[in-house]
Amino acid sequence: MRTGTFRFVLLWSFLTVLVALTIVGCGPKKVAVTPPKPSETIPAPTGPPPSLTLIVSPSAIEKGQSATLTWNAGNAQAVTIDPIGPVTTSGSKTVSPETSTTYMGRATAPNQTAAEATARLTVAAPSVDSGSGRSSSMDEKGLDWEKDVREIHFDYDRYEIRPEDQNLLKKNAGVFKGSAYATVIIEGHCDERGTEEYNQALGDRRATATKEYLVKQGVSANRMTTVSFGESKPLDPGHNEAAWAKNRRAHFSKK
Amino acid sequence: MRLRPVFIVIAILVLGVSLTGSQKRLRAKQSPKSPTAQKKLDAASPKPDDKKTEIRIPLTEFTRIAMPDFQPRGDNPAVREMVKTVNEVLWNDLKYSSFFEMPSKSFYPLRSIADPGTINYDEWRALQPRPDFVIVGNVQIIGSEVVLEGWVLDAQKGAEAFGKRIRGGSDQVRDVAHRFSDILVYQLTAGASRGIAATKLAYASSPRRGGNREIHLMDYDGGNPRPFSKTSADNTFPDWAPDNNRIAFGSRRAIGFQDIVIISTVDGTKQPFPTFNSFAGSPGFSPDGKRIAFARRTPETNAIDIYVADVNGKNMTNLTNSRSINTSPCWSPYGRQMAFVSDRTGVRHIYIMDSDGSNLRKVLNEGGNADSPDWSPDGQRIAFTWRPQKGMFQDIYVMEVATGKIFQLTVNAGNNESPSWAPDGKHLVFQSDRVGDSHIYSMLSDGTEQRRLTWSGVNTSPAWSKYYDIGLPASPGYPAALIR
Repeated sequence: MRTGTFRFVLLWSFLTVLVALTIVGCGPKKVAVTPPKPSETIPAPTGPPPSLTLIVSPSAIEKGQSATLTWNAGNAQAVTIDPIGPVTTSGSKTVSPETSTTYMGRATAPNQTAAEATARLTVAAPSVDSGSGRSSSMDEKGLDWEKDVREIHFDYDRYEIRPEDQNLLKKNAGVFKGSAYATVIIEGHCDERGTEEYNQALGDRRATATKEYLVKQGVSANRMTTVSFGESKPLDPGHNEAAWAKNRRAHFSKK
Repeated sequence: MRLRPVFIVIAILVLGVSLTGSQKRLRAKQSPKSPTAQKKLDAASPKPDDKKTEIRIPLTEFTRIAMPDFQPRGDNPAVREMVKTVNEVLWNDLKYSSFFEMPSKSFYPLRSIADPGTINYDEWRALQPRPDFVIVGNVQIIGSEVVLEGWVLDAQKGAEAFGKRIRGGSDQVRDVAHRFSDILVYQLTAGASRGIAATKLAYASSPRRGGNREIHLMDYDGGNPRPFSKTSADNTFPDWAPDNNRIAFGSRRAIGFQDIVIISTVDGTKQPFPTFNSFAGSPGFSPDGKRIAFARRTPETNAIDIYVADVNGKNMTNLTNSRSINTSPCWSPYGRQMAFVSDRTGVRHIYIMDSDGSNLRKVLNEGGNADSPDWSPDGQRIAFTWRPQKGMFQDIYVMEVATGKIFQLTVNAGNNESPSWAPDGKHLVFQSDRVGDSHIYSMLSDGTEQRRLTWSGVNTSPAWSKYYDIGLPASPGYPAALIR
C-alpha cells in the first residue's frame, strides 16, 4: 500500500513538473517573468530599470544669457551628461553655451541597463528684435517644422512603416533632433472602416510603430508621446479609397 | 408497484378530458357579468383545471393581449400627463418584449376601464381577434408618489388573473410603467423572461463629432438620457458589472494617457484601478464580477494585448503575449472562455480562448473583417460586427457558436457596429451611422423591430445592463396567487 501511494505521488509529481516545463518551454518569450540565476549572463534586467529626466530652462536663450540644466535619475548608479561629463544622480547646473547645444544624459543602473534623456538649448544671436530668436522653428541645418515635417500614411489595417515613407520619417527625425521643442506628439489615425473599438487599438499601434522608427533614427524616446485618435478625427470626411488613404496616417505636432 | 405511475397518468388523462368537456359547458352557460361568481366557480373547480390553464399559456406561440388605456384617478391635473406617459410606455414595453400579439386599440370596445369592476367581459370575448388577456389599470398621485394599479384579466374565463400596485417618485412615471411591464412579462411567460423594460443602457455621447465623450445612461427604450461620468476626458466602451453597481470604461484624459476607469453607479465614486499612462481600453467584467479583462499596450513590445486582472487591478496577467493587436475581450456567460479580436494573421478575426489564455482558436473563416464580439447570455451565440471582403459597410451579425453559422441582422443601413446583448438574449443594442452621425439603436435578435434611441449629438459604444432586482414574485406564472 505504502509503496503504491509513494509511486502514485512520485508519478504525479513527475507529471506536474513535466507539464510545468512544457508550459514554460512553449510559452511566449517573456524573459522578464522568470528571473535568471545570478550566474547567467542573460541581459535581462534584474532590478528596477533606471529613469532619467533632463530639463533645460528656458529652452531658448540669446547668446551670452544662461539657462539652468536640471536632472534627476532614479535607480541609477552613474549619470553622465554630454558635454558636461559624469555628474551626481540628481542636481542642476547653470550653462551658457556659445551655440545651440543638445545635452544628452545617460543613467546607468547597477544591472547595466540604461536610460537616456536629452534636452535641447537653442542659442540665438543677440538681436534688436528679441522676438525673432525665440519664435523661429528653423534649426541649424535649415530644416523647418512647418516646411519639412510630413505626415506618413499606412496601408489598410497595417501599422508597418511603408518603404516610401521611410525617407519622410528620417527627415522628420532630423527636424525633431534639431528642434527646440520639448515634446513631439505622434497621433495615430485610422480610416472609418473597422469598428471604433479596433481602430483605437490600431491607431495606438501606428503611433508606437512610428515612434519606434524615430527612436532608431536617434530621436530620444522620452521626447515623444503617442496618442490614438482611432477613426474619430478624419482629415477627409469622404467615404472612398482616396479619403481613406488620407485618413490612415501618423500626424506630428509639438507640445 | 411498478405499474402505479402508469395508472396515475391514465387517471389524470381521463380526468382531464372529462373536466375539459364539463368546463366548456359551464363556460357557455355562465353569465360573465358577475366576476365574483366566476371567481368562485374557478376556485371551486378541481386542481387539474389549474394545470390545464397553465398549459394554455403559450411559451412558443404569441399570447394575444389587449391593453385599453389606463385611467387617471383623482382630480390632480398632473395625473393626466402621467397616465398618458404610462399608456405610451407600457404599450411600447409589452410590444417590444416580443412575447405578445397586440391587436390595435381601434378594435377595442369604447368604454373606459379603470379596474376589474368596470369591465364587461362579453364585449372582449366578442372581439375578433379575441384577446387572451385584457390589461387594465389606473394611475393616481398619493402624497408625493405616483401609484400605478394594474390587473391582468383572463378574457376567456372572465376573471382576474393577478394584480399589482407599483409606487414611485412623481418623476419616476416611466420607471413605474417599466416595472409593471416586467412583472407582467414574467408572469405571463411563466418566468421564461424577466422582462427588460427596467434595464438601462450605458453609452458614450458627445455634443459634436470628434468631441470628448462622457458616458451617459438611459432607459432601455431611450427614455431619460442623462450624463454619468463627469471626467472631462474622452470616454468609450463602457461595460456593466454583473450587479449593475459599477461601470468600467476606457478614458483618455490627456494626450498619451488612456486608462481604465471604474465608477460606482450607486454613489458616483471612482473605484481603485491602476493607471498605466499609456493605452488601455475596452474593459469587460467577468460574470462573477471579480475579474476584469481589457486591452492594453504591452510596454516591452508596444503590442496591444488582452490582460485580465482582479477588479482592483491586482494579479494582472497578459493573456495573449502577442506582437499584434488584440482587443474587444468579452466573457462567455459562465466566465470559462473569452472571445476577442486579433490581427495576428494579418487580417482581423474573432478568436475564442479559455479565460486563462489557453486553447486559442479562430471562430470565423469567412474573410473580411470581423470585430467587436459580444457573447449572448445563454452562451449559444456571439453577436459581432463584420464587413465582408470587398463590402462597403459593416453590419451586425450573429454567429451560432456550436456550428459557426452566421446570420445578418442589419442590412442596407449605413455602418452598424458595437452590438451588446440585453440580458434576455432576445434584444440587442448597437450603434449606426445610417442617418449621418452615429446614434444608438436597438433591435430584436433576429434583426427586426429596429428602433432609434438617441436623437442629438454623437452617440457610440452602447452597453446593455444586466437585470435589476425589481421585486419579481417568487413563483412566476399564471395562475399565481394574487400579488399585492
